[in-house]
Amino acid sequence: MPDDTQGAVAEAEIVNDTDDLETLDTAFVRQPFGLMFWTAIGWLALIVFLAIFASWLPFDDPNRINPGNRLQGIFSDGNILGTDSLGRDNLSRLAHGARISVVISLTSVTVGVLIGGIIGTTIAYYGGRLEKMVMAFVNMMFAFPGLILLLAVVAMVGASLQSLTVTISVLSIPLYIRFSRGSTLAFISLDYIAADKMLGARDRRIIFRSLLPNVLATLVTFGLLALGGVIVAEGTLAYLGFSVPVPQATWGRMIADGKPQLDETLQPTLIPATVMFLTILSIHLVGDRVRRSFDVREARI
Amino acid sequence: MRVARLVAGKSVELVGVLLAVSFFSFLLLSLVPGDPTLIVAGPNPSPEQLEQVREELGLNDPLPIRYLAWLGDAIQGDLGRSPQRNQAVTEALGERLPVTLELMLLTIVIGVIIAIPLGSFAALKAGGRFDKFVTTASFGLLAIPGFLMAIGLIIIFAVKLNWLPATGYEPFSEDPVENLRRMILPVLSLVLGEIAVLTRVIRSDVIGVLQSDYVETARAKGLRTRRIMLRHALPSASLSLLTLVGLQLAGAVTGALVIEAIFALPGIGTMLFTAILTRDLVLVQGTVLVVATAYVLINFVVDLSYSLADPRIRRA
Repeated sequence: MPDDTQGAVAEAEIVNDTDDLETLDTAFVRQPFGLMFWTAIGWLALIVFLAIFASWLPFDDPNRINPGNRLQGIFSDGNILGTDSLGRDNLSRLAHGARISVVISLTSVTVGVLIGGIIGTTIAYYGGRLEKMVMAFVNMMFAFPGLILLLAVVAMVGASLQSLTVTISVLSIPLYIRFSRGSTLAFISLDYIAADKMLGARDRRIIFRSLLPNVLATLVTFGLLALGGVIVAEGTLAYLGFSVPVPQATWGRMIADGKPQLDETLQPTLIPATVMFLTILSIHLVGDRVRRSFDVREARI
Repeated sequence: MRVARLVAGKSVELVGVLLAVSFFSFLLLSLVPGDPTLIVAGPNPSPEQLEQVREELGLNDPLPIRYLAWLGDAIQGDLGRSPQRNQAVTEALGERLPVTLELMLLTIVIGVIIAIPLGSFAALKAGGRFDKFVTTASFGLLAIPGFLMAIGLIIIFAVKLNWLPATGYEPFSEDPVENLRRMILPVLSLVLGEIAVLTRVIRSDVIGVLQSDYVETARAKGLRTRRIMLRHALPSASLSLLTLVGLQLAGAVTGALVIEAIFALPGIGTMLFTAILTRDLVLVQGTVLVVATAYVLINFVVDLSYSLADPRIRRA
């Protein structure tokens, strides 16, 4: 999947983010993580908590329609965050929507990091024709507009949690291959790999014990930032009506559902929009901070 | 010589990618579960219609033959007919292209015009108050995906302030002023994120250049800051800007499609999403092919101009 995304655009942004030379910020490197970082971590922990326990927490059924109770404001009786145009509880729908975002983003990034990481490290280590072929394929995938590719596949196959997760995972693997190949090439010329070889270590040992752990450290940072890109991609699809089937709650769909009532009340739109914004912002904050402390170039100074 | 070889090599690559793009678009229809004939023929077809559609789609031929036939038609501008619209796909795309194109170009041009001074000024006094503001603002803007930005802008400018319409379109040829007025919110939704990305890159590029030896020399000669920026720092930083603008232009294709749908602008995006919802799959296929091809071509031109603009490659 190329840059874009929104998925594509976001990817371009992520790629850029990782390349960004924050020359002047080096002074921060040895400083503690700071309040912003921990607030962001706290927010993300809350979202993951809601996603895991959505069904067990004392929430209303997220899909229970109650026309007599529509468009309640926040802090109304029984609905802390109010209700939407069909009288469904906003908080409950938010929590169940979090589940979709968390499942899709964590799964696809994990799959991407592991599979892409192994492929990228291996081809960079062996080089030669195999590397050329894989990279030709990867570059070809980059030439496609990611979101359109995703949309096209989902439109044809039908949208479900499985089809979305699988499609996003598969489409994002090239991104991780490219990244891990680049970072392997940087490690491969270092002395400790040469030492491994001289000691007679097998290829597999060098790849899995010496290269992959180092590559994974940078790749995970990259994956952390990519989480945001996946959430945006799913959110965009959901907003347009192409994510998981109705009436399943997702943040993007909640925003879309609230839009026609904007003249009456802002809450049903504003609440999921804010939650989504804060989540992406938190991911960026955490990812950026972690990247900076991992960055060899900056940490050395 | 080297330039010719470079262009030739990249062109071969381009053809390969375009073939892959076309093959993927071709295969899309076969991803659909069930009989594509039923889907393409539209609702309640007669047996004769079904046979005709089957013949048109060439479903009796093997896959490679079908692909080549389809590709041949596509190259000649025949992407099939949309049964729902009773219109040729190429014609439908042509009608809607200007809207999408206008949105994309306005976004890129305005984005570049605003981001260059912002990034440069931030870099000049890096660490200063203005720089801190720009860096923080762009960091925040990056966390707002296009459709969220659109919703936010609609809430502020259409619902609360009632300054601008939330949806609707006016052709430029009918009423240019009204056209631009209705483009403000869609363009703004895209351009803010655009500015954030571009500003960050320009800033870090210019900071890098300002620390280089030749800028030091220019300073030692006593040149003014403005001259150093315009003659030394910006041209050097513009190489990566070129790549980035290209990437953004390609990204703006997808961005524009989504934003169109939100503001109900009659562009390619709105048509594509409607086509998906109405299962107008021939139209989906054709649109995906055209959009992906455009994306590939933009990337190709950017890649090429980047190589040609780099003196190390050009003069070798």
